[in-house]
Amino acid sequence: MTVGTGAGAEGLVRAVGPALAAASAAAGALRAAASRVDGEAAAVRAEVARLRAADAGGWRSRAAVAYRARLAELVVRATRDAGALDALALALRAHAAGVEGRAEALRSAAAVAAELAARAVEEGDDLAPRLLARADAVVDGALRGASSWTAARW
Amino acid sequence: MDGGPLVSPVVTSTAGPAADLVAEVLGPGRAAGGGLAVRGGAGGLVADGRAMGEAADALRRSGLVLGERVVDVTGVVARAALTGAPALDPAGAAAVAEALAAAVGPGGAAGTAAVCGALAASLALAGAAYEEAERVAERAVAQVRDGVAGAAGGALGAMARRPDVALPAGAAVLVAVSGACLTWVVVRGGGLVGDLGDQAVGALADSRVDAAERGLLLAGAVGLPAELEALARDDARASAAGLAAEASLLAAQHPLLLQHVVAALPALAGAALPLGPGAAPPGGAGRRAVLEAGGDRVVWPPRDVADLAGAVAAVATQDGALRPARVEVRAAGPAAPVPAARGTADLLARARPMAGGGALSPGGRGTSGAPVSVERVVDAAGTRRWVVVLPPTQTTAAPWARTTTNPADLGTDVRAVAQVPTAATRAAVTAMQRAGVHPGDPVLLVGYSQGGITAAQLAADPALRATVTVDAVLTAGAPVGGFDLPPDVAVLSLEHEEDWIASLDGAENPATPSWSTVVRDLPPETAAPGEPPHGMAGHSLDRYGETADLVDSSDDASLVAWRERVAPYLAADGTSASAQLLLAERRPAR
Repeated sequence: MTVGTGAGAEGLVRAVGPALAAASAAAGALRAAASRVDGEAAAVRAEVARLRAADAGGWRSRAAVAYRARLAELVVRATRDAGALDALALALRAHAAGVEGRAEALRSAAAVAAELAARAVEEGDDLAPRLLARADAVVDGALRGASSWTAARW
Repeated sequence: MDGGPLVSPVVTSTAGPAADLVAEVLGPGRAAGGGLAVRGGAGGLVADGRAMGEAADALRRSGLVLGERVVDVTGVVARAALTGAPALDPAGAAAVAEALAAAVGPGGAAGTAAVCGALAASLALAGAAYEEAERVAERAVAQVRDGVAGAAGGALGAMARRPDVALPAGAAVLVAVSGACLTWVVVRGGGLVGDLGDQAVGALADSRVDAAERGLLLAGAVGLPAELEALARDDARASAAGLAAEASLLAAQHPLLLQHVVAALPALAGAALPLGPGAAPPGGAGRRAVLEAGGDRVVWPPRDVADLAGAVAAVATQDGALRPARVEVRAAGPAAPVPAARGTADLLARARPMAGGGALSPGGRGTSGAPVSVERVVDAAGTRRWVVVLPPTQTTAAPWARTTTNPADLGTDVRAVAQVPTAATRAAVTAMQRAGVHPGDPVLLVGYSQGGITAAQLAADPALRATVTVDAVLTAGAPVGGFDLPPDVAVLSLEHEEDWIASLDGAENPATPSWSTVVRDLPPETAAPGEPPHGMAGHSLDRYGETADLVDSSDDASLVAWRERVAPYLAADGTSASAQLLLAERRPAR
């Protein structure tokens, strides 16, 4: 039984490895996406400057006044869009940080599982099932704790 | 429209369909309340077709660029989500989802791209509407002018060839209302002027004559006025007084027709009197004879009303090279304190004593002086400005007659329209200098009828402006559409639909940011209260005073800008004013 308990704990720890790698890749992809979005925000800001220049200089009438008011609103709106893209980049970076935080939690869970497995071996078969169940819960919480919620949102 | 700048005289709004624009093009201008219509000025229209097209293109491109950003950003975020990150950090993924929707959703860049496209389409439509309106207006104006020329051309041409043949009644009315003096001299004097000879005029144009020959030609022309005077006497006896009244009434009832008749006159006169090198089409760039002497300038065939008036002025007015006169200006009394004007109506009211029936209106054709009022306005800071009020036509003596010494005569009218030096402009400059106006002092010129033409002429002449710093011009009932006024001079022109005098320039006033024209269609009940209608009712200074009152209370942007511009000349706390009245008279040249 001791051997079986130890093998189970080791299995749990091994399962964390790919999850850690996936988390690292996801975080990298999110940071890369954030950089792309930075570029898109810069492109929108360049477009804001072009919009400002599209004031049909030399056209004067009440209609021209109305046109320039709408153009000004458009400039404000595009400027706000650029700011929204900045916010999106920030959200992506925060998401990357969140993923990295989850990876750190996985590492901690793996360590806890290993420790619990070691204690299960020392304490004997009476305590082993309970310790193993706790280790499984830690890892599972780290890996899948919010999976169902995430699926509902995405 | 070829994509170049388009300055329409009357289009003021792109609201509504193109048909409405066309109506505005052919109408008097934008409604400004109180029965006023306004063209030009700060609230006027200037449509630059090229700039509008470029702006529409830029908007379209920006819409496309923003649309591409929406696609790119959405793809980037979706690819990042496929890595499983949402499962690892669902809360972070939710925040990204909200930020993505805000950035590129309907409330974000996707919506902005759509707005861009819609605005680009609106702008392109507006440009197309202007273009169509301009095309329609040009066609309409050309058709009117062609029709007028066709109707009157035969009669005038026949008249020029056979001065003994009486004009048909319809053509006679057209001639009478189209500037009696100009047309009369051209038509009746045609045979006389023709005596100068085509070859001689052509030689002048080619500069193949020396000073002596030029002198001989001028000497030959000196005899013209006497013969013209004889013709004038004959015509005066022959023409019934009722014809003039009928003609002016017809003109008042059809001001637009009159304007086009006048505009057609130069081409008609050129065709009727085919002098000079010939082959110059009306308004074209063909060869023309040009003669300049003593401030006179004769261009034949005439290109426009100014050229035609110049030809008449050279042979039939005082003050020109053929009949030079000088002007003496004397103070009518000491400068006296006056209340500063309170607005446009108050400024115009200063011309009231100079107009018919006024205390400074001599009437008749005898010896008299033309008044010029020079009013000094000093504000609380001690800055000095001037309001100069110029006289309207004060005598009915014939342009070439020497029976009056008053510079504000019909001859000055002809010369002013020709934009050649007049006794009135010389009188105005001398009066200002005599009253203490220094170069650099800001001056507001005010003129009703001929006074308005003189004011515009002073403002338009670079040589005169070197002496007098004209800051603003107020005209009423004055045909000033032919003047090219500098953009730094604020101009307000008041015209009545029924005032045919204001149509004698044969052109709309330019509608520029600095030049506003108020056109008022006089209500019938104020056109001639209690009296039978007559053709001069629309020219009444009292009616123009009412129009100026409406200007003072209008919230039209152009008129608000005008009032702000002239505010330093008006009454305010700490402002004082004093007026000096001067009288100008012609004297024979020494």
